[in-house]
Amino acid sequence: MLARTLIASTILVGAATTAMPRHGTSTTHLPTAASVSEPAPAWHNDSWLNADAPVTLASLRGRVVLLNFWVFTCINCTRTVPSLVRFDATYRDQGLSIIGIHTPEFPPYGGEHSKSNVAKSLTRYGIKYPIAQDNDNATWNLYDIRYWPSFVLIDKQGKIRYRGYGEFHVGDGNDRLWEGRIKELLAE
Amino acid sequence: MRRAAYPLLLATACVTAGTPAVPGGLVVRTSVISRDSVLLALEVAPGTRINARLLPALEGARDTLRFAGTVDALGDYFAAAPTLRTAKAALLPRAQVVAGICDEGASVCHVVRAPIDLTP
Repeated sequence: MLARTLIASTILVGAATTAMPRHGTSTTHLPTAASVSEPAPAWHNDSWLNADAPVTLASLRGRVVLLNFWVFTCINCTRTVPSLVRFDATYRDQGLSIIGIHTPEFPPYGGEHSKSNVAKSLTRYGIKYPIAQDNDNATWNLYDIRYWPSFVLIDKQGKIRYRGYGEFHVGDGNDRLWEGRIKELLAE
Repeated sequence: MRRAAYPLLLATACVTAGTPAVPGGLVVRTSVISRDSVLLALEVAPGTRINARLLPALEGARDTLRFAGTVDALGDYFAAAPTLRTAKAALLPRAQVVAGICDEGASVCHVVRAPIDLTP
């Protein structure tokens, strides 16, 4: 006689998200033509890395701003970092500011809320642009983000012009797409 | 042979309220291995993978327990279903599974939260 009784239950858990853009701006992975622009909302994160003081949206007026919503435990996010590091090195002096919004996936037990853990990842991946800790998901929610990684490109007038999500790599199609968008906004 | 009437674990999940569902869900496979303990295994639909950098968790009323399993060569994703053996008491009065799920096609990750209802 078996000492154990085995009952297996399998439940399909409906999950996930089809990130349908809620705004009129364009979105990659399925890039469409840019349409309307809208004012970018101001974030209010208090904890920053690679910055002496909190970086505000107002202080970036006149610059093109690429927001990258990421977390160091996200594989798709860290695989995209080399592209972002290259954008930063190439275009910062021309007026691009990349701002990383580090939004944890898990509650604090996951270790993603730790500033020292985030700092280690910046060293590991060679990230020199400012990073905001978004431990309460406030900026994530403010920008209506659904996926890691996601991107929001803001023009010199502080308007959102492009939104997108998904991993990309140096030299691939989406890397060239985002670089083209950055160059377009820098030229305006 | 006496077959005990063990409860089934029922789980439902959502990512964010109001978010439309997308292909690729989380399968919570539950095996009752003794009167007091259960084995939970997480599986995902083809085209999605479970993030191994962020170990899936079972959040119970008192404790949070982490799943474990075989990972791929880079340590990024689980190569086989992560499992967790736990006392049934850890699932009472309520618990939920939290996992990071990554979509291969869109190359994005999201969090799945699966409340577990221990139904007698």
